[in-house]
Amino acid sequence: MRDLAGRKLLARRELPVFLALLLAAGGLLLWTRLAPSGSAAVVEVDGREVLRQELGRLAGPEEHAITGAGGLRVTVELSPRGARVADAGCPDKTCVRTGHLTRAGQSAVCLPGRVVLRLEGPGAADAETY
Amino acid sequence: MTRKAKARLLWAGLFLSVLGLAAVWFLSQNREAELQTFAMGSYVRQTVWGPGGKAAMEAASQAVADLENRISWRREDGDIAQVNRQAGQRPVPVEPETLALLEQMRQLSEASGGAFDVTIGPVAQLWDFDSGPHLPEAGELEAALALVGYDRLLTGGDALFELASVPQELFDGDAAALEQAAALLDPGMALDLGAVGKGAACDAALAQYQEAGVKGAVIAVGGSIGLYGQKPDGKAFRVSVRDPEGQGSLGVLELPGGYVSTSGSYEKYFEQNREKYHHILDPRTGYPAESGLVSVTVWCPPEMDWKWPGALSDGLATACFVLGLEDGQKLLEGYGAEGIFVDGDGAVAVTPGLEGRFSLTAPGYHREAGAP
Repeated sequence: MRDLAGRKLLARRELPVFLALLLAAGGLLLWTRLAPSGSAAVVEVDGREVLRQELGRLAGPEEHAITGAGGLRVTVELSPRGARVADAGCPDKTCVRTGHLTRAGQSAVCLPGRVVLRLEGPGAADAETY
Repeated sequence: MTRKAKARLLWAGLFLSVLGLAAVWFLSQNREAELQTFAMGSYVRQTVWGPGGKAAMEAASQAVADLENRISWRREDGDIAQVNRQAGQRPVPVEPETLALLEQMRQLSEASGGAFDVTIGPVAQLWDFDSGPHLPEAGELEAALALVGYDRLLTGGDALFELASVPQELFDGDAAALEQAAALLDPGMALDLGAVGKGAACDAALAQYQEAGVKGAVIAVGGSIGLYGQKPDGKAFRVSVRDPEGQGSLGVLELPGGYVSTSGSYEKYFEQNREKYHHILDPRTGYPAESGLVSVTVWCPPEMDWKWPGALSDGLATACFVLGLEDGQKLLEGYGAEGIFVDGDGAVAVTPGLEGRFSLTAPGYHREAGAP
């Protein structure tokens, strides 16, 4: 490789080191952007994330008590197979009725408590219409 | 260090800087930002790609909040609440955007033969699906139904000038103000944009994305979706359609952009006297629609020449649910919109424009022939 003045920009023996560095940087970039990750359950209160759990790391079902807007209590159950809202202190229970979330992109929303349980992960759709 | 070595170091530094800048540019072009908020009585989720994403999402949130203040009948100072308060009395000047939305929704009310009606307020308030759902008494339902009629919503200019009840001093002889006014003819009438508010919010958000010049964006206001621009990988947007009977997905739509809305009887309902009552009311009877359908999803493509295509997709989904498969498909055809109709027996009919864009994945359903 020569620069405009004809001087050597890189010595022949430096070239492999340079290429290796370039490859490593490119590889790292690709890996961080494309690496698949397992499904994770995310719980938000009023738009802020309060809990994130990789479902694949759970040994069995576990329950978490969440305090939503206005002190509303919502119980979420996370398991290696998915997640659901097990109980909610609101009268309509729409989030409980949503049932078991098993696929990335699905969500259960408790509007009175502003609590959202959703699944993230590879293969998720960009949005869900209902 | 020799001169040669110094020059070599300089060139290498320059090269790495250019490489670094290129990497930063590449990442900023494809950067993904997300924002979750609540508006229109719904969970709102935005995903935006490209530079300026965060600011665009915040602007979109503000635009949605402003829109809600204008078009929700619950916001006392809003356009709609004021028109309702003055029903049967006088026209009310409204924002040009509100006027355009009202006129388009009245047009849809007419095109659907009243299966969608922007003046359903009195009947919807009686059922009160949002706070205390209950079966209204036949007498009160009949009285409320008499107050429903899109043809008694007058907007702008000539129509209002003809009204004897318009006090001239109200507008100080300013014809332009009257051009931008809306009126309901009978006392007790009420506008209700609840069926199209979420779709209208998608319209408001997409206008902000366009202004900000972001690369691509998805907004979900509850189950109403707005799709803007392009994803970084250039692939189609994937929208999952909720299974009306089960807990998962009915299938996935792959779309180049536009607006998607769904009306389903499963979403909001109550039981009384062992009868199930869902929230999609037929403005012609005052009762929940019985068309044999359990869910209708409508897609308004991005090239549609409408000021409020998101609101239109919402309104069309409601109208199609009320009309049923055959009339619903005809209505969509008239607008250049597409749809997925699911009936109670698990038959899924897809209009021609969605053939190849929708893959049915849920078990227990079967595809039916599309357009009539």
